[in-house]
Parts: sequence; C-alpha cells; structure tokens
Amino acid sequence: MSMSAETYPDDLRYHSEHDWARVEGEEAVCGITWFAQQSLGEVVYVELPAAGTQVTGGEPFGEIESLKTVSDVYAPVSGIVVATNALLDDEPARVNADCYGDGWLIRVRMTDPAEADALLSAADYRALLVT
Amino acid sequence: MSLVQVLPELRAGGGAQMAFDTGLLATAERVVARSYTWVPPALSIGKFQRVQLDGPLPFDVVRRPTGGRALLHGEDFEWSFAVAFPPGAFGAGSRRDLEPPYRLVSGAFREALEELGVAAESGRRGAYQRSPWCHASALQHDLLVAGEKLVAIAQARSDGRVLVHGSVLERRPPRHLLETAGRLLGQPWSGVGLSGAGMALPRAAVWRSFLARLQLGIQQAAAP
Repeated sequence: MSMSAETYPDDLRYHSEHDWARVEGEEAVCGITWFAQQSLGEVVYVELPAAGTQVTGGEPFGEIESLKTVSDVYAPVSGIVVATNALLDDEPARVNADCYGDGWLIRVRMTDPAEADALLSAADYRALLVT
Repeated sequence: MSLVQVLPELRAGGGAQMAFDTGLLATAERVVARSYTWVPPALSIGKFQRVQLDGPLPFDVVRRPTGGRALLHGEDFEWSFAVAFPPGAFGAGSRRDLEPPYRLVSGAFREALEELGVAAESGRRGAYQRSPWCHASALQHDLLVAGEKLVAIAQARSDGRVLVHGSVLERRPPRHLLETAGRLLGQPWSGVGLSGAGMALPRAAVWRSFLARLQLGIQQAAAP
C-alpha cells in the first residue's frame, strides 16, 4: 500500500535523483521521495550497504526492486553509513507506505554537513517534478 | 542511420547471455536490441531472488540484472530479447519514470504479434500472485495471449541507462526441467506458451516486425 497523498515535507532536503535527507546534527537519515516510490510501484526488496560503508552524494549506494523494475538508489549526501533500516528486510513495502518515516533507508554520518545545504528545498523539489 | 543497433542473434549459455546484457546496461550509448536463445537450458532468477541449489541439475542457474521471478529458458521452447537504452533516451526529467521504456518495448511487441495475426493483451490479470515463478502473474506490460502470459517483460535501470528484458514462451518447457525447477523453487510451474495456446509463430518474423515497430516508436517519441 502506498502513501495516498503526494507530499514533500518542508523539513527535509531533496536530491534531484528523488531522494531525501533529514539532517540531525552531523548525521542525515536518507530515503526516497513520494514521487520515487510511486513511480517504482510496490517495493519487494531493498539492497542496502553495510554499516561502515562510504557513500558519495549523487552516487548510487544501493538498489531497490519493485514489481516493475530494479533501480539504483542515490545518496543525497556523502559520508559513512552508521545504520540501515532493518525493518525493510521483512517489510520492504514500508518504503511505499511511509517513505519519510518507517520507510527510511540509511543513516549517514556526513563528511561535510554543508553538503546538505546545497540540496533542494521542498519547494524547489516540487518545482523540479513539474519541469 | 538506424535508430536501433541490432546485434546478431546469439546462441549461448545463460552465463554469457546475462554477462552480455549486464554489459549493455553498463555501457549502452545508443539503443541496442538483440535476440538470443539459451543453450543449454537455464533457469534465470531475478536480481534479488533467492534459491537454494541442490545437487546436479539439468539446467544452468543464472541471475538476471532485471527484477522479477524465475523463468526457464531453452531454445526448443523459448527465446529471449533485450533492449538497452542510453542515458537521456527518454528525456532529462525521466530518470524515475519507468513507463516509457515499457510502453515502447511492450507496445512494439504487441503490435508485432498483432501484425502476424496474434491478438495479444497487456495488463494485470487479477491480484498479483506472490510466487517464485514469473509466469504465475502478469503485470501491466507483460503480454497475454488467450489469457496466458506469453511474453514476460522486466526492467533494470542504472546510471541513467535502461535495460528491458523479454522472454517469449512458445510452448510448455519439458517436464524434467519443470519438475526440477519446481522442486528448487518450492512451487510447481504454471503457464502454457504460444503452442500450448494453439499458435506457433516463426521467431524471425516476430523479431523483424518487433524491430520495425520499435524503431517507429522511437521515432514517434522523439518527434517534436
């Protein structure tokens, strides 16, 4: 089941590859946006990196399989993975049901917290979707 | 210059075939299409599908770069195709839009079948059945003939490129392959095939017609 209402919370920062980051001090929780999960369809598997893995902003860090496709997932910021969402092992569709909450993907200790400032605001991301 | 680079048909084992397609997904700089047959027979599983191998098998087991579930392949009952699209093939704002490659490939194949007198339908039939077998359910861009899933289509995307896989099941696979694969996957196979549905089509004619429709579809998509 997918989140019914299209939404892009104002307290998140967004990457053009349809991923979001919630900055919490020197760390960022990351996931995919409503648009991304809606496009993918029902998520059936999520491949995430192990804790300790270096991820690079704008580069793929994992893959998502939905009923429709297998697709890269992109890191919005660079850093070291400190946690991954273990709930997705058994319930990958949480990505659809709550993409900004229980459907988060990874937590990253950012290499440079200022990198998050360069991401898109919710308004800018919404504008990107209509271009 | 043709909009589609067509590679020669390749008759080879599953490992070679999937290595080739994985390479296309990583490197295609123009639209590339190829058809192929699997020798020896193979069971292909989806990118993240898990299967416990057990003892000697009458087929190779390979992993596809695309998603989806298990398929049996063998030149006597099935043939496959792949279409790779380069970065930007569907416009700069389309990296998450999964539909255009599906519409193009599935639509071209449906039209190719119809040109040869086979009425194909696309679309999901009933609720999605969770099964280790690809043919247990049909999704929107799969093609059905006489109510059976004959053409299974799956997609993978990486670094802006798209790979679309297709498997055309012409007839029911041999019993010994089905029984062994069913045991490995924990579920008996279900499905028919073109011949099982009372039709048999020359592969070369289907492929030629598909390529012509694919090229036309790409031209139309690119038209201002």
